[in-house]
Amino acid sequence: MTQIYTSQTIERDLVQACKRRDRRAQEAVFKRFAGKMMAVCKRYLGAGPLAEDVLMEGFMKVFTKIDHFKEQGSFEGWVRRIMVNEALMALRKEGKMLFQETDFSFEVGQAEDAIMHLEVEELNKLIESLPAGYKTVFNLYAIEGYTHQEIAEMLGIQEGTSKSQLSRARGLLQQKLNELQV
Amino acid sequence: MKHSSEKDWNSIESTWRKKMQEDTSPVPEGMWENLSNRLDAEEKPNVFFVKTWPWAAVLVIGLGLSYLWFLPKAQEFTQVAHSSTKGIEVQSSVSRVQASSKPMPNDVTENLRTNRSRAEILKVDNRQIKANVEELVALEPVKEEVAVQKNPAIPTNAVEINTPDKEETVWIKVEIDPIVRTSEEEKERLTEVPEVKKRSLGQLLKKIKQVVKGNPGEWSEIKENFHLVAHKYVHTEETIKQKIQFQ
Repeated sequence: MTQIYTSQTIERDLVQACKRRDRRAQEAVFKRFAGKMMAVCKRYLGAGPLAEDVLMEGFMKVFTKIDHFKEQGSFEGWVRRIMVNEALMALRKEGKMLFQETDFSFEVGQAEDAIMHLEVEELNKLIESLPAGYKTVFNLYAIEGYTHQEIAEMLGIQEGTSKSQLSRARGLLQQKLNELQV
Repeated sequence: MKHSSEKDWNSIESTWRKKMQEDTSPVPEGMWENLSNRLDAEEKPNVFFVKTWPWAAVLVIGLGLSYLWFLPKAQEFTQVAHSSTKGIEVQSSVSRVQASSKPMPNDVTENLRTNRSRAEILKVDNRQIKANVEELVALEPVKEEVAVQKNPAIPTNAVEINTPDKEETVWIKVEIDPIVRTSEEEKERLTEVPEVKKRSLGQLLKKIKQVVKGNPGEWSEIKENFHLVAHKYVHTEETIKQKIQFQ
């Protein structure tokens, strides 16, 4: 408990210092969150220079718009949200925001216990193999925890489209997992 | 079946979420340096603005003041140029007043011809000007033409009168010694002029009305009055300008 309190205090102090444009505090924030945010960017955009550019732009936004952070929620959550938005913008610019409407439907079977124990690397590979639209919705819903309504607003799509994309993503993932087990 | 699978997926995704939230990826080297440079570049223009705006403000104020400083000079220049051209007109119109004009005292003509400094020449006594000009105006043939002059006469203290046949120069010396004049006199002089002007204007308006009603006999009087009003206006304006100049 003491450790959490200390960590929160440090984070609050860092945010205050960043609001004063303290360069050392900014560096500390960058070092604290850069690795995690890089993983976020890669999940949406894949490994490559685009993810690095988005990370850079995201941190620029974090430091220039830090005055807008109200310090009511988690700072990490706020930074993550900025990164996700930047990644979605990059996807739109690249024209990769395509939501396939396939004719066939997946039968979403029961998830097996084995799937639960997949390692992060394996999970990342599976998600990476999904088509862009499925991957985006799956990431937003399953990994970031947004609701279908929020996803629909963020992507400018119907809520139903978000649901169907998620359903298909799950079906594809299960199919791939079955193939792996075979 | 479908419902249970949905539940299963939700629990799986919850587990995955926890794992993925803590996932990290290696950050390319030198990224912080690049970011720091970009942040520096972003903040510099503001610093530049903060440092330069007082100088810009000083520059603007300076330009404004210098404009105000030079403005009266420019007006004076145009006034001199304007009045000098008008002066020529006055000379030609007054040139008909030859024989009847009084000879100018010798010291005045000498002073004028020996190019005395402008400050000395500008010592004009308004009362004398008024008296002399009224005297000139009283001479019938020139009245109308002189009355046309709406602008002040030449800022020098003399009016030259020439004729093509018989050249005779008439100089009117006007002197003002502002130190000699008391403040009461000054006040009186400044206050009495508008009243005269008003009175003259009132008379003129009355007579114009009479002419409009159908009394042409008043026309010559109107001309005379108009002429007087114009002169008084000119002299008042000149007096005020000289007053300002002396101050």
